[in-house]
Formats: sequence, C-alpha cells, structure tokens
Amino acid sequence: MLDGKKLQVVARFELLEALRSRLFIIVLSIYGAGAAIGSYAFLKAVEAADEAARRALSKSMGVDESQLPADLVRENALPMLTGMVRDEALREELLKMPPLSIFYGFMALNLVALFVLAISTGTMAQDLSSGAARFALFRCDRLTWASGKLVGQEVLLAAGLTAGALVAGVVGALLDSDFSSDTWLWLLRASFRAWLYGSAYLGLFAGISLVARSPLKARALALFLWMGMGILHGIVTADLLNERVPGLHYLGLLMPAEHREALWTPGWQRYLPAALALLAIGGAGFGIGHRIFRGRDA
Amino acid sequence: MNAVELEGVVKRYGRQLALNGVSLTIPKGSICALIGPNGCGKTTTMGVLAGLLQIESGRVDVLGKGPFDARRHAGRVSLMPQDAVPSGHVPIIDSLRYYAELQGMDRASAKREAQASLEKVQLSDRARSRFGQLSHGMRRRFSIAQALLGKPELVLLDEPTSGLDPELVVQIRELIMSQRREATMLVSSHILSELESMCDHAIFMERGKVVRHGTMAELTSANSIVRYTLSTDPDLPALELVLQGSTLEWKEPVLTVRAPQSQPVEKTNALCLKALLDQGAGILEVDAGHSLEAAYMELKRGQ
Repeated sequence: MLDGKKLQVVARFELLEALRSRLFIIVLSIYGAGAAIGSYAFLKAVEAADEAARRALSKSMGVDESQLPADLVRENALPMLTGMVRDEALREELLKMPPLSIFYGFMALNLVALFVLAISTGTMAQDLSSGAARFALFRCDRLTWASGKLVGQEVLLAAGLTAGALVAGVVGALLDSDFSSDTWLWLLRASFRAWLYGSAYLGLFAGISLVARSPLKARALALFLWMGMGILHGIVTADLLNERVPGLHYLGLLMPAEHREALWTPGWQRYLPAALALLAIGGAGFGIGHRIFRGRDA
Repeated sequence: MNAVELEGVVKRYGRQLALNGVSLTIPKGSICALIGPNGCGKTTTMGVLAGLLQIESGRVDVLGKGPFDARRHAGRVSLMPQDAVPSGHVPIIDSLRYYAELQGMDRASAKREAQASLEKVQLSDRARSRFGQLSHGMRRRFSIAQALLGKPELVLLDEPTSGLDPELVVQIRELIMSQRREATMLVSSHILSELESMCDHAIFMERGKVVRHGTMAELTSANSIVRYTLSTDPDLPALELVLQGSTLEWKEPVLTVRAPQSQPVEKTNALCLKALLDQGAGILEVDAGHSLEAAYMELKRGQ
C-alpha cells in the first residue's frame, strides 16, 4: 500500500538531491543552452528566409522591398509545409501555433527521452548499488520509496522542460518581432506535451533502474530499450509489413512513438487517449520493474 | 518476551548458503552481541530482520508482529548498515531529517531529532557537510546517528565501532549502553572485549548457523567460575581444603576456581579470597567467568 505522506517526503528529498547534483545541473545547462541556441538559430533562419524571399520577390515584381510584408515565409511557407499533414484538425492547430513553439515542441519531443536517460535513469539503481536505499527501506515500504523517487523525477522533468521553454521564450521575446504573450502559453503547452511523452520513458527507465542494480547498466539497458523501441515501432508500422501481416501496427500502440503525433492535435478525441496511453506505458514499465524489485534483496 | 525470534531461517545468495537454518531469540530490552568470523551470516541476519533481504524458508518475528513490514515496523526498527553510503549531494543533517520524516515524524520534530542525534555522536559541527566530506570515523558516527533517530524499539548495529579511534569507541560504547532500557540492541563486532563490556546476551555464529547463544553470564560461566590473577604462586593444597567441592586450576598467573553446583559463586569467591589473603598471595585482579574471547576460542577449539 502506498503511503501518501511518505511518498511526498521521498519525492521532496529526490528533488532536493537532484537539484544539488552536478549531473542535473550539467544536463539542464546543456538542454537550456540547446534551447537557447536552437531558438536563436531557428528565428534567425526564418528571418533570413523572409529577407531572401522579399528580396527575390521585389526583384521579380519590380517593387520596393519595404512595400512587401516582412513575414513572407511565415505567412506562406508554413501553410505549404503543414499542407503535408494529413490530419486536417492537426494542420489547423499547427497554423495557429507560433513557429517558435512548434520548433521548441519538436525539439523537446525529440530530446526528452535522452533527457530522461541522462538525468533519471540511474538514480534508483545508484541508491540500490551504493546502499543509500538501505537507510530508507526499513523506514518506508518499497512501493512508496520507488514511487516517491519516480514522482520526484517527474517533477524534475517538468521543471527541466519548463526551464527550456522559458529560455526559448526569452530568446523569442528578444528576437522575434511577432512574439506575443500567447507564445508563452504555446511554449508551456509544448513543454507539457514533451512531459507527457517523456513520462512514458521515465516510467520504463525507472523500471529498469529498479532491476539493474548499477547506474551504468541501467543507462545502457535504457538506451537499448529506447533505440529498440524506435526501430521496432518503425518495423511494426511499416506499410509493406502491414499489408502482409494485418493488424501488426497495433503492436505499435505499446510504444511511445505511436502516440507522439496525437499529442499535437487539438481537442480531447485523440489527445486524451494518447496521453493516457503514454502514462500507461510508463506505469507498466515501472510496475514490472517494481514487481521484480519487490521480491529481491535490497 | 522476545524482541526477535528466528526459527529455521534459510537464506541463499545464488548457490551460496548464507543462513543455514538459523534459530535464535533476543529478549526484549537486552543488548545482544552477534559474534562470528567474516561471512558467517551476521550482516545477513541483520538484513533479514530489517526486511532488506528475502528468505527462502523459516519464521521471522520482529517485535511480536511477524516478519519485518514497513507498515508495522517503520520507526520501531532501525539498522546501521555496514558499508552503505547515503546521498552525497545533500548535507548530512538534511539526510537525517529525511530519515526522521520517513519514520513518521513531522518536519519540526524531524529537524529537532536530526540535530539531537548529531549531538549524540558529536557531529553537530559537521551538520552542513556532505557525507563524502567526512572522515571514516565520522561516517560511522553518522550511520549510528541515523540508527538512533527517534525511539526505535529494536536497533541493529553492524560493526558500529570498526575504524573508530579509541576515544570514540568508548563514547559509542557508552552511547549504546545508555540505550539499554530504551531499546533492544543487536550489535556485531570483531572486538570481543568490547562486546563483553556492553552486552548482556551473545550469539555465536559459524557458517550460517547459530552455534551457541545465551546470556553473557552463561557463555562466560560467570555464574560458576572466578579467576584470580596473582603475583605469587598460591598454596593449592591449602586452598583445596578450604574450597571443598570446587575445581581449581593454576596456570600462572591465573588461578581458575569453578564453584560446585550446590554453592553460589559469590560464596566460593568469598572463601577463596579470604584464603588467598591469609596466604599472603598478591591478588592483582578478580574476574567473574572466562573472558568472552576465551569462551569463543573454546567453542572454536571444540568444533
């Protein structure tokens, strides 16, 4: 049985420890710097593209550049690019988003698994291998301890992704002429999307961490799992294979990548099942790990 | 009433048998020594009692509430693990506060308790240090401090004084003895003289089995033997006349007198002391029973 009060105590200490750990500070700094540099490069590229398009257009039309709109690319290229998206609702949603939030959302979704891998995967394995867990496990039950550690890491992940969004926002506020207060909200939504996606990996990797007994082994296994799931998802959702083995793509539902696109959609119809599926994948991974850990020596 | 009861406990690490049907009892309120060579199962026994290790078979009862279960035993049982390293990122006082809160204390009490336990082991001045910044002795003291947090009813101390300087050994021993009425304690150590001076019960283990256990008086024969360290040879025939029914053994400089079963050892001692003084023997020391070390060595020889 979970002890809510003790879970909170473990989660709080997990956060306290992580915030003081060199690894977290380094990874967070790298992620923040990545968000800043990426946002800067993205905004500069869009600006340069706008400039080049305006110059080309003014030359071919024989009009002065100042008479042409400043956001030619943003206004015209984005609808063209989103035209490739098959889902109409998603296409419309993308058009509503400030380009910076699309960029940050894309970046966060692509990096969140690595972020989790670097920061969270080794923590429980580290505590078990160093014996730190032995100071706690006669004071609270194993489920409460492991869940508290997981909740602490979830909060940490949310904090890291939000910090990245804030950094991207600051860069946008300084450089983007179209930046509005709405952009902050879109950036925070992008963080939440990445957090949901990352939670699936966090649960899976936490399960590994409970079983692996060494942080290095836990990280290596998690890396294999992440890569393996990516490859497997590509295989089971390949059209060619699905023509031969009908229903094979359903296996893809067990993998986080399958639910990624739905996280961008507006409304609850696709978004909610995807969010629940991601949390369930993470929960299942953690649950399996805990089941093994429960019957083992600590 | 027993604080701990183990019956036929078997524990394996892979193919290796760590506990081979261990059966023992520890009376409530006692300070019990756990003695044996490296790898005999002392640490494993403590791990089983604290619920950290899973057993293959047998019965475990801790504080009359069955095997360790955090819901029933958290805060009532504490352990000083031998080689465990706590978090290295936070000051040790924060770690202690965390453990105290996990034991069920509120934040204010946890803070007070953490400070008090650091004071007990004289580490208050290092409260803001991280574990990695402490010396070996300080680390042991931190481990003892966390084991004494709150008011645990059963304290398991795995080699609490190993690596400490003599002054600290004395302090820790006094600290352990001061808990005599507060808690039942199980203490393992290789320093038998130290265990003898602070424990009232002892358990000898050998290759995963309990080979002997009982009160310290029983194990050292303190209820039947008196040893006299003398500076001169005693007149043995004269002593035998006075101490009829007793068995005398003289191995310079120690005279060992075993009292007859019909006579209390105190009476035999009184008679023997008077006779020795009458003989003008130089009495340097009087001890009840064998030393724990001698009892242990005798057991080893008998195996």
